[in-house]
Amino acid sequence: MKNLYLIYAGVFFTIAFSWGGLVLSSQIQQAGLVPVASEEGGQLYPRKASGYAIQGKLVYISQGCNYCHSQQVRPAGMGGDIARGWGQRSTVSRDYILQDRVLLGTMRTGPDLADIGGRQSSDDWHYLHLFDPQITSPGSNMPSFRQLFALRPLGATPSKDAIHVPPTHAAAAPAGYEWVPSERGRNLVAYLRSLRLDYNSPEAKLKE
Amino acid sequence: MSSPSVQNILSRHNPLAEGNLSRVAQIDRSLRSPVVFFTVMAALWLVIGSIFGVISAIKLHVPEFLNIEALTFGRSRTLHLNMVAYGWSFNAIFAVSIWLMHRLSRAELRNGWVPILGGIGWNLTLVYGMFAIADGQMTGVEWLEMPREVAPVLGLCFLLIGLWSVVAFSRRQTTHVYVSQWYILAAMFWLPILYLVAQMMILWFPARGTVQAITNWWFGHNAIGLFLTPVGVASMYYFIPKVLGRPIHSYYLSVVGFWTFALFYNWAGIHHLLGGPVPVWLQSAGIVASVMMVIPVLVTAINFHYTTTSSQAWGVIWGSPTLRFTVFGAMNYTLSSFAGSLMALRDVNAVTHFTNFTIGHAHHGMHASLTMALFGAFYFILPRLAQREWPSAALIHLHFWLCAIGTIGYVVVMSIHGWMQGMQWNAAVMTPAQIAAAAEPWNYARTICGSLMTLGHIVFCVHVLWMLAPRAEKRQGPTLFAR
Amino acid sequence: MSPVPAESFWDLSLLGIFLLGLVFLGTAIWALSWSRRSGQFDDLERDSRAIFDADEPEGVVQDRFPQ
Repeated sequence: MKNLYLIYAGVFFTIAFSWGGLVLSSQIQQAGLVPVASEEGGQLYPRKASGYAIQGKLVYISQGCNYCHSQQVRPAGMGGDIARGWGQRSTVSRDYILQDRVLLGTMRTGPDLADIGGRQSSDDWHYLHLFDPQITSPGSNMPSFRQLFALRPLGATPSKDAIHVPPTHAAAAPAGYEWVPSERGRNLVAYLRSLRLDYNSPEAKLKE
Repeated sequence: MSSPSVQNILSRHNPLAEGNLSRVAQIDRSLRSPVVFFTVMAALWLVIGSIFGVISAIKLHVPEFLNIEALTFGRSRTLHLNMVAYGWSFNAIFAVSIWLMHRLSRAELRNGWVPILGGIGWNLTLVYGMFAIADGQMTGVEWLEMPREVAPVLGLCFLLIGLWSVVAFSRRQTTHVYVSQWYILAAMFWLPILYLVAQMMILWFPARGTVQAITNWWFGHNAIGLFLTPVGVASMYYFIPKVLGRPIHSYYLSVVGFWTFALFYNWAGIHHLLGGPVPVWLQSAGIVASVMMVIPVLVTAINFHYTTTSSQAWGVIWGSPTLRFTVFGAMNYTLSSFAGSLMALRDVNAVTHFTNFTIGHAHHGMHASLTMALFGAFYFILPRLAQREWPSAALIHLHFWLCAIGTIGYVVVMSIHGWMQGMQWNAAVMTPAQIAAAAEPWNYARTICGSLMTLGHIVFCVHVLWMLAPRAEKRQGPTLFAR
Repeated sequence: MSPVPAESFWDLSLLGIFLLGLVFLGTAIWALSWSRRSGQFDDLERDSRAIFDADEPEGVVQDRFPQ
């Protein structure tokens, strides 16, 4: 095999073949996917994310959350995702069509988050978990994300933004101060709360 | 005492006897600047990248270790990957591919400033990219984490460097073409296409929904399989027969190996998305291609096996730094590829997906196979460029054992724990925190193995710099590579 | 994937890509047979010796640990 053009032609063919078969065909197949309503005139799913959630997604990416957490629920028979309560159905292509950056993830040091907004619907839980995972999940090896919080001087009464760090905690706010989430922290939690798999899709129905 | 034929070789490599310079020595001389440049860059990135790997490993069992925002696990792990991939692997590949292509084409390097310019641009851009990642500007797309503005620069620099191998081939002074040259040409052709398409479809004009993920893993797996691996295989195909002094067992098999490799590897990347929100037929295609990879891998293994089989060969392999590392790499190429084919099977994947098993496999291919083979290449190439022998056999031995034990230990630890982890997640009994707690001793073992590898890399880097450092006294006689 | 015959524009283009793929395949097979005829696969055994030359000949071990 001595001919440069021949080698190049063959090499180009193999990659054009795989790109066409895998990527282009998927692009064409998914081009027709739009949000749909499960009943006539109902809410379209997947939902559009709020502005705060979109900002929060940028925080998620910037902190590298997707390197320990996935966002996809595998079907029953391919692992225990549904048995674990990570979703009442598997995720399908349509669930991701409105996402500008798809964060499926490839590693589960921690649990899957496709439905974390459904599993943990309390802002407080999320803030405490991010402040110090040991508070909500003793034994976890997730690091703390103190950078998403700020110490603020206490006013006459604690502000409703303040998070409730146990007073005995090593990093509890000193007297006269309270911990509040920064704007990044608030946005991130808004994003996490927006991650819900609580609707039917034509391709997969919620288990009852 | 050297035999007469060896003396001839040695005197031809004597830089002081200008008129004596053989063709080979002239070619080596012309390649000195760019290859040395890429080698030093590669070695430095390897050390720094490995340190970030150890930092990340420690964080998994000491979560508050160095827990400042710039080094949060998500960023330190990303820095590790990008440094060892785009820093070490790419620079090493640049060095080895330029050298191999010119040698095999029997062509001296001309205008070496072109690949060096590309290399300077490449490495400066990487530094920028690393600071951007530490600053939180990562994209969230695996293997494409540097902010997208680096893409045009990296792309252009790659063309400057990769093109030079293609140019050398087109200037070849011989009608004989060797298998390594096909692999290197293919690698230099494939990478720009992969990078351009992936950047456009994911970062610049994002595709819809999971098409991004499909493109991501078509790119990510192919960057390894269609760029890094081919040059690694090219290196093995050259150094194993070269150092042994015997030709490849069946050249015909290597043709079959090359084309089946090109055909199947392309489609295997979807195995990263099994069970995921992508069409089932796509997943099946990825599984089939991943299993079919057994064919080219087996062909290569057979070829190497029959080339090395003989009662004296193992003594030679053990006694040559180049072969020790290269054969170690070649054997792990076979093992890690077969493991990869297994991991693509649905029932296996249901357990191993999202676990340390996958990470162990990644290191098996990237380190135990590719990196060790590249070390072997450098042990051969550098003395011929620097016109001097490696200063210390002891450092070579130390390098080998630290890396060999570290890398095998790492793969074993991560595979065993990864399987456990997968079973624990799937059984749906233990809580996430309990699974994390159970992981602790395994993460500790992983840190130790990674540290051994890192120490080995530091030894290698030190030895390379020592070898290349200008010496006070000029050596009078020829250097002796095979006394 | 929708079955043939096509039901919409997108299915039609998928079919088009498939057919183009067949054309590519045909070209690849033709290229393979052309290569054989033009001698691309001849002399393979000789090519395997391309790595050797007068300075680093076949039969001589080329590397050892430094003494």
